[in-house]
Amino acid sequence: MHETGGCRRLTRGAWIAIACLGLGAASGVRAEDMAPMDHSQMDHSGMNHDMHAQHLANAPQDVKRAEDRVEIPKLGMQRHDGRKVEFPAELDDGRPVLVNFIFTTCTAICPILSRTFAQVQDKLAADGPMPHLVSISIDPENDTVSGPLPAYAEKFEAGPSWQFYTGSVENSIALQKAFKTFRGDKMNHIPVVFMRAKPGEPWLRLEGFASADRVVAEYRRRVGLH
Amino acid sequence: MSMRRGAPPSPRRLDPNLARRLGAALALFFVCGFAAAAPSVLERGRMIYEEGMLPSGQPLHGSRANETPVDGRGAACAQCHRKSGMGSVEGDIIVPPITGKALFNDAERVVATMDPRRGKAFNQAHADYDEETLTTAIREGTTADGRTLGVMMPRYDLGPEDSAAIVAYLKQLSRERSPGAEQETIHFATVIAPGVAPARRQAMLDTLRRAFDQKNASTVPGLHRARRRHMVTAAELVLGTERKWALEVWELKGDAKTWGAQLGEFYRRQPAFALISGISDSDWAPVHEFCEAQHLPLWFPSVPAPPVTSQYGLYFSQGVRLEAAVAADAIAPVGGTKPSRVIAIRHDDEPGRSAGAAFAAALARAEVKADERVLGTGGLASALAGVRAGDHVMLFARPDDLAATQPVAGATYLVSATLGRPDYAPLPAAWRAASKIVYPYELPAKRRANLAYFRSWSKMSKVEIVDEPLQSEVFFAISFLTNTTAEMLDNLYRDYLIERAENMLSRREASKAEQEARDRAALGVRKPGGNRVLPNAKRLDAAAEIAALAREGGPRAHQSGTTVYPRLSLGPGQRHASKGAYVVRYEKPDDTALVAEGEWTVP
Repeated sequence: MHETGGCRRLTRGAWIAIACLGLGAASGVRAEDMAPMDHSQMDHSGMNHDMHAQHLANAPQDVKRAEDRVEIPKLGMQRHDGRKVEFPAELDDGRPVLVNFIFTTCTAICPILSRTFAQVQDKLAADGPMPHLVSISIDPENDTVSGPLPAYAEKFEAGPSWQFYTGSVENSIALQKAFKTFRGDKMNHIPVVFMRAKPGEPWLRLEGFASADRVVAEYRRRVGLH
Repeated sequence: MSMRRGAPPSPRRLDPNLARRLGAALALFFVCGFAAAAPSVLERGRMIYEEGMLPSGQPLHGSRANETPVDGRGAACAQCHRKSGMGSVEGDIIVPPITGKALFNDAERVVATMDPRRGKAFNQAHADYDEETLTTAIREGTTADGRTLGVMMPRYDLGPEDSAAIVAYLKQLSRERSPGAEQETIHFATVIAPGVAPARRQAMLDTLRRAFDQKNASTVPGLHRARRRHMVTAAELVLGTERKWALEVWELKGDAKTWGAQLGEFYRRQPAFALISGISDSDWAPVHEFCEAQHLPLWFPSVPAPPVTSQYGLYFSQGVRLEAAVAADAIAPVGGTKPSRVIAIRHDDEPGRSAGAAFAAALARAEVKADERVLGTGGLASALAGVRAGDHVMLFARPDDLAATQPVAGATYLVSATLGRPDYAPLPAAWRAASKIVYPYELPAKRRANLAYFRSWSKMSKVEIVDEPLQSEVFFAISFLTNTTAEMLDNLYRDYLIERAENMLSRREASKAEQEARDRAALGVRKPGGNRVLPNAKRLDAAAEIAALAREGGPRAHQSGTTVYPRLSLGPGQRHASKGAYVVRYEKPDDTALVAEGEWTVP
């Protein structure tokens, strides 16, 4: 027997009403999150599609590529091997660097990012000197060195050139802001990989699910291997 | 074998009763034997869905559209679509609901809130699936309406039998509302363990009941929603899924060994959708175990020793175990100077054992061993025997223990705030100079802004604040449950309740804090003459309320959340929302103000 008080079939008009009201009534919506109403973005139910998600869904390989200067703030973090280190010195030891942002209990985006780094690590092993792979936790109070961080590194078979970093919430946010990846909350994060050939050079930003082959190709071009 | 009535019993024939019993035994043998050899279709589907394990014992395998392979647990459907099948949102990625109703759309369209704080408010409509189109979607990544599924969705290597199993599992997934959720009412219960101080028990119940009354006063269930006199969200306006809440108080008695049976009896009389808040000053494991067995969410109870792992329990912090780790770090930092002697004093109860074990484990990392003493009939005085100057004494003790004796001069004491409760009863004056406190809350001076709304609420609702951490926890539990159930719309599944809490807690806290801080700033602005600018408050008491709200915490104070904790945050599988603690001390022995010894520490 089906209940009658719940979700019923709704008229098209009612759906449009929800979509319109829903946008306006959502509390805490930041201006940059508010897309202007565009009825071409609605399917037959009147739902307002998220343009970016829709974009990703239809063109899965699409990756936004950009160059950027990043001002790394001076702050302390802790590596998954327990060592306390200082940024930006940790990124400036002369090696090329690849950076991503993850958290260990993430179910959707981070396992892909981490798997991609694991593949990149394997693919670059033949190239000679390894770049520094840097994974910064965006849930640092949970991803502790006495907690899940070392096990996460082990799960993805992180070698000596791949380190995971935790620290205070404030410091993690400061690093996310420096790389312009901070979106207010860990559950609201985006997949992005950064790379830099050497200190002082601009960073290449790959936003979207860049495959390991794509990351490796960009990296080799960047460090002049091709 | 036919059994004609009246036929003379043949000696060769089995007695019909015996035959029935034998038959039943045989049937049972077949069912069990068969089940052991080959699990049912649904069980095979569940293994694929939840564990990423194929019936053959091989891990489930798939590959994503960017050619990233996925295997085993990481490839399990539940990894992204979650156990309930209701999906989730991460960043710009919408993982849509894939429950039976959502996929096959057989009677009603499933409407799920994806992320109410951003543009992508609801799940998208799609063409109905049938078994064939669903199998194509799972294996090839093409939807029933011919779209290509996103990069996140693996294309799975599944044979026909395994595909049939997963399709059968999805068909029945989250088909029925969970017990306790009815058409117009959601039943909740709260558990009160024996031995809680009467004043705290009453304060907890008053806060809970008052908030329940207020929630119900502004609720008009869907069928009667034309009678509404208040604004609701857009989805609620159309769908009408609001329900009244009923609260049962499950007051436990006697030995903890009997609690399981008592809970079973309470539950049999009226199944609850979830247990909300709850209080114990000692044991809790039987309640935790009951909830795990019943798949019954346990929504933010105030208890001293939450379990380490749990499926259905959400807790504020790890309680005494968190304090033990922070205390060990303060007394014997890894790589630092080793203390001459460390003594841990605890009760022989669940929090005591839990704290003692956690303290010993944390000290072991610095290669330090504590002398562990259990409080007996002689009380704290005899447990302190032999303590001398220079000793570090960790006290997992309650206010009564401390009140009954004096500290030994020259030793350093660290007191657990979860058990010692300095906010409820300041430490006796004799202990204040000698003690530090491990304090898993935001500092009193820094949390005024976080608690401004709660304090104003308690004033307006005439609920006296007896124990601020406790009552703010209870208030948060209801307030967060109100938001969460509203966002769940008509999808009242227990697993989904937990999943939404995991995903939304930190976002909800941040946006509430921002909104409340904005209100305080707007209400607290002073006119050049010195008077507050107040909105056109028609009633005097309303003006006073607004002024009080603005005064609490100060109009410009930073607000990080809405509770006594600096921030609350969960994630998939996380069960403890606040992760750190301070070490604090009394600023002056003749005063009860607390100041921090150092930074917020996450062990």
